[in-house]
Amino acid sequence: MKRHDPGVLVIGTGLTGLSAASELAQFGPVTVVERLPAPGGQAGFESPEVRRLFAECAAEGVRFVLGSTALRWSAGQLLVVGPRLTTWLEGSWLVFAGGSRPATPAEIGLLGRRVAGVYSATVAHHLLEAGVTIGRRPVVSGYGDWVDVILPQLRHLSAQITLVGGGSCASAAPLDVRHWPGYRPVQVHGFDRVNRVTVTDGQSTHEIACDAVVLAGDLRPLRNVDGAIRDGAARTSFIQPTRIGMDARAVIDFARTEAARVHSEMEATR
Amino acid sequence: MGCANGRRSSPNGPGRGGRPVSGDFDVVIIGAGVLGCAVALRLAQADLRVCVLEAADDIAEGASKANAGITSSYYAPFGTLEAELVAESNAGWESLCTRLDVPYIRIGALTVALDDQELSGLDELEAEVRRAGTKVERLSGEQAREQEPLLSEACIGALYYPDEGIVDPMRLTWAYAEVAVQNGAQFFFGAPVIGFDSDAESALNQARTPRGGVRGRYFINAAGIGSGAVSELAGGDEIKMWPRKGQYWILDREFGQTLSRIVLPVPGAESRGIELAPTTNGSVLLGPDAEEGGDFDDTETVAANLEEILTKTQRLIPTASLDWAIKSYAGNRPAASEPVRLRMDSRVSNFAHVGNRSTGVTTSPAFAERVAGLLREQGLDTARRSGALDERPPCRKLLLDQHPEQPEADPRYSQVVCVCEQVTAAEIAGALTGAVPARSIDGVRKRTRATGGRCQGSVCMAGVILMCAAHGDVAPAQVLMGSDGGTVGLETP
Repeated sequence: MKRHDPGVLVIGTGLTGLSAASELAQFGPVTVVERLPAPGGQAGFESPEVRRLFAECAAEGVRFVLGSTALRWSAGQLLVVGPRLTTWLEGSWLVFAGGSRPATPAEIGLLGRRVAGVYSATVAHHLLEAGVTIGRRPVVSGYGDWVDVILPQLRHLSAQITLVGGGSCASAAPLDVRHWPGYRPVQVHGFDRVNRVTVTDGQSTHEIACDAVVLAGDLRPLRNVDGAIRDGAARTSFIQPTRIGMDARAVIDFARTEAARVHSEMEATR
Repeated sequence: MGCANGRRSSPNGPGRGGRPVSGDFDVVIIGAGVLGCAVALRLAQADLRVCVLEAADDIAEGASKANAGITSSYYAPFGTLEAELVAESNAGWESLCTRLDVPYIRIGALTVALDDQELSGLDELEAEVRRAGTKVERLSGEQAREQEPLLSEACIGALYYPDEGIVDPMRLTWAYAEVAVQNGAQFFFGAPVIGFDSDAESALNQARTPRGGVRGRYFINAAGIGSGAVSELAGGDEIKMWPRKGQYWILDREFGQTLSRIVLPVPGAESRGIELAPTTNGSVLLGPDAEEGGDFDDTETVAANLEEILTKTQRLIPTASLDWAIKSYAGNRPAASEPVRLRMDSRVSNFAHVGNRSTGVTTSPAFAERVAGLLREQGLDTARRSGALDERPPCRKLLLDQHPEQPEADPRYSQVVCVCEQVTAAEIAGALTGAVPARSIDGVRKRTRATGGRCQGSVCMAGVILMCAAHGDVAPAQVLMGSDGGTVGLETP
């Protein structure tokens, strides 16, 4: 006798989560949980790929729980808090597609006091969108997608941008930024606000005067659901591209391939 | 924090600096750390007019926000004032923290010996602990590993203290302050004491700040690391203060859930040593080390110290790993020539000293009662008045383990802002609108933990900034990051 299959739970509705949901819906019921009221994740609801995948999922009978935050995955149950419902959803498997974020100071070994003006690129992006002048001499650390997002935004308000890290940076070249390729920030200084940052390339060390530091590099998978934090968590798969420079097509292909792999893994453990 | 130690406040910033400092009070408390706030609550429960002057822009800006959150059951040898204060405070934690809506767990601690020398140190310690009347059990290495399976195989003996607990020290300080205000106490922030006025009998009658002065019958010096400077301004006893810097790692609660006890090394002469302390939100603190003689304002984290902390804790719990590191931070314990102070000044008749270089959180309940006793001896009626509040309504956490299956009455309760620390919009709104509300991102983090989790605000900080802006009716750029006056953005020309 076959036991009732509660189906697969997918967290996240970016290109990755939607692609995975659509792929897995071929094999059984799929429920997708999204923190925001609309699907899209980093790509945003305006993205044509998001619209297309969302419609595809709907046609395949995928159930969406929008505006609801997943907090804990435990023994085949996912705790979900939302405006209409705080509940445990049953699932045979959890597919976590929570996107990525720049590394935190602890993760990149950046030390110093807690001072104003040091932001993750995700936060800086929102603040800049809201018209906040986060700095006039900002240092942006890292390379890749978030740098490409942040540099043009900073360009609108900053006299002097310094980019620390990466190799030769295509996005920096046309923007007249000072560039320290091969360096990384190791310590922030300042009293009420950051005023200098120490950078090193492993051999020499320099201090750069600044009034803001934006941490934009070293992408990490964003994981914040208890019980689904580490690779190897029970009945859990993570589909979180952290390679930089992937376009929508590449992300979708990656997610579909990974979802197929997740399906075989689920079958194997059945 | 104290006043004359060089710490800058922001009297004209968008903080709380605007309100003039004035009024007549029975008791003026200097310092809004855990001791100042505990004392303020107790005295405000009597029929007394109480105020607190704080140099910084928020409560708990000194050691009270940078400690391990441990409520010790044993710390100092039998017969010392500190031992009495620890003992008097210990039994009441559950009831106090329930009334004040502060997270508390009597989690137990293990002091672990890893070699023969440490084992003999453990023998001496056991004798001291038993003499102090603290509940303690002697365990073999194997028994210790039953209590704490992650313990090093090298453990050959341990002391187990079942009455050791953990508390959220910032929420505790906040709760003391909130209920103090509900009982009528007044808090003035951004109000460093810059001088006192005395009458003919060399008793103080006014404390002056840059924004005005308050008159008082009694003055209590609870200025933490600034206590020496405050006493000097009052013409009181000489107290030498210096910072004993300590650094910490915070490890994620996915590691924390595997650790069941506070784990300590056999103590050295100067401090308890570098320990692993679970927190009430499930994470684990590694630290603190102890470094003397730095700058009062130096809270920089330093790689070499943090490495040493990791190495020393891995000796006890080999699975402790920076793979789980969320953050490192540093704080300054208020080390002093007189480490624990609870007495009237010997020169100034209406001036009292309240201070503790290390176990301030642990001893805060006893300090509050003892200060009431101290002032009673001075002739002040400190009996609790009828109708005095000693609790506050709980700020409901998410009903994580229940199945309400129905909409929340307040929709903000179902809006999770900080996913890592599971903090709702309702809790953040509560922190921004309480009797002693948060005025900065750090203020919100201290009260709710929002932005303090795994992703360090990568996801929620922008949202928290916007909530602060909306509640404070300021532009997002003007929202304060911390108590030092730094704002989210720069002013636009």
